[in-house]
Amino acid sequence: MNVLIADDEPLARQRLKRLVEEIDPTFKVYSDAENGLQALQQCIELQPHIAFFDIRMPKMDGLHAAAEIRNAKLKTHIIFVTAYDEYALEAFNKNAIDYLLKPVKKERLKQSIEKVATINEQQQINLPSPLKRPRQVLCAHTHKGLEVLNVKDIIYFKADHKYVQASTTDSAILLVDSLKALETEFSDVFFRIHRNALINVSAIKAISKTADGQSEIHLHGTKETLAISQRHQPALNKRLRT
Amino acid sequence: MAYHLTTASARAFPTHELGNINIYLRNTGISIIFSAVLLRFLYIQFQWRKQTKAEAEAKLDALQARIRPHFLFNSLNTIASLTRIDPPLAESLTEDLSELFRANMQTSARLVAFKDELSLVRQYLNIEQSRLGKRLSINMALSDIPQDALIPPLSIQPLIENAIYHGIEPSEHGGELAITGDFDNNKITLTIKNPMSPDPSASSRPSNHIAIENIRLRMQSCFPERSSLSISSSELEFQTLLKFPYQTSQP
Repeated sequence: MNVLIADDEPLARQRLKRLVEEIDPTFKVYSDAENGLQALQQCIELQPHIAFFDIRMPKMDGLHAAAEIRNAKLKTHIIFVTAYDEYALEAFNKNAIDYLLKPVKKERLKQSIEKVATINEQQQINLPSPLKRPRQVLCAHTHKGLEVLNVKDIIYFKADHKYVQASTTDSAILLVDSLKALETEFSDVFFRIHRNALINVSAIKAISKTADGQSEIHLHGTKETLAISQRHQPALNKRLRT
Repeated sequence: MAYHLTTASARAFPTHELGNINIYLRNTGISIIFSAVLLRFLYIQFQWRKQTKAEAEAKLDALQARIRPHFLFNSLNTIASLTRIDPPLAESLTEDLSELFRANMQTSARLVAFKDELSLVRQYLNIEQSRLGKRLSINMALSDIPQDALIPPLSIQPLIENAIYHGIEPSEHGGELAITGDFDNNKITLTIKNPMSPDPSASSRPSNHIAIENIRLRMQSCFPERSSLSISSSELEFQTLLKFPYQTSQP
């Protein structure tokens, strides 16, 4: 069995690795992932059976990484490890396979591993989705592999039929999230200018009018201009004045 | 009162019953007084219990506001890990953690010497250094501050904890924590700088305004009008400035 460990504290990774190896020396343990994004990338690459994720990690937290692993339809079973995180524990009670508290007890860890071994593969496991804080990166799982964009680099979101396209200066990914959900999650940075578009407020360069009276927005980092609907114009003006 | 009742009943009843009624009334009187005293006692005891409970709860609340559970359990985890890899370090971190807790539980001392608070800071930083590894680099220049200057206990360590919690821990590559001290014209200035985490999740970490406000209040009560605690931030850096007078005797 392959096991992956992700934690931003080196000594925490080292201890968990030792405990897992003591429980079963035949397990292959990968323990280099220092943040959620590395954890996600390594899970995609190494396809471990079990992954132990710390909740609070830089770059991408454990909950988000776990949700992405589910999006990528990997078979990895996630077990969360946390020092103390009340809100996360609430979420676990409903959804998670298991969670462990630091410092992890060996006996408890053993139970957890056994629990994963008995899980039926068809059994649906719901991961906690209450990502109360906005994500820092967005991912798309394509045939080429995992594509990752930093949210702060995204210039705009544009809805097109089933998908929403997130664009930066040099790349774009398609997301399954709805524009409405993205608007709520990133309301600090993004603003709706049209039924089908959200723009990064910090990327606004200029607003102009076309010959037929339609307002358009010009953004730093892209040549594309986006239409501003009449309905959203007043709120946009207000936001820009403050 | 009892007297009037007895004389009144003396007229209404034949004399041979007088003695019995007298005893009866006296007994009733005594039991009423006794009950009243007992009730009063129970009431006072109840009030006292309620008050001590409230005080204990307040103390516990204050303690919890100061020690982050997340820090405690992660530190214990670090120590658990080190017991196999580096037992001497595990031992010394256990001592450091104990000192930190002892200081947090002590409420009697009104003022401590700067050198004592500084040793607490060093013990705290030992733990964080082991926990965060290469992500935390520390630059401390405090030799200018007189070691015997008096300050309220736990007025510096929580500020440094804040800097690490918001500036270093949530950041992928960590950064430098700079602590510098100036001594000029009998005034002491302590500056704590930490990088602003590029990670937006850092700003969503619950801020410990209570701790900061608590330090400000205690500083003010020790050095009225002569101390200040200010925070400022730019895009890249967060800065905490603590100013207080050089004083070596309890006011």
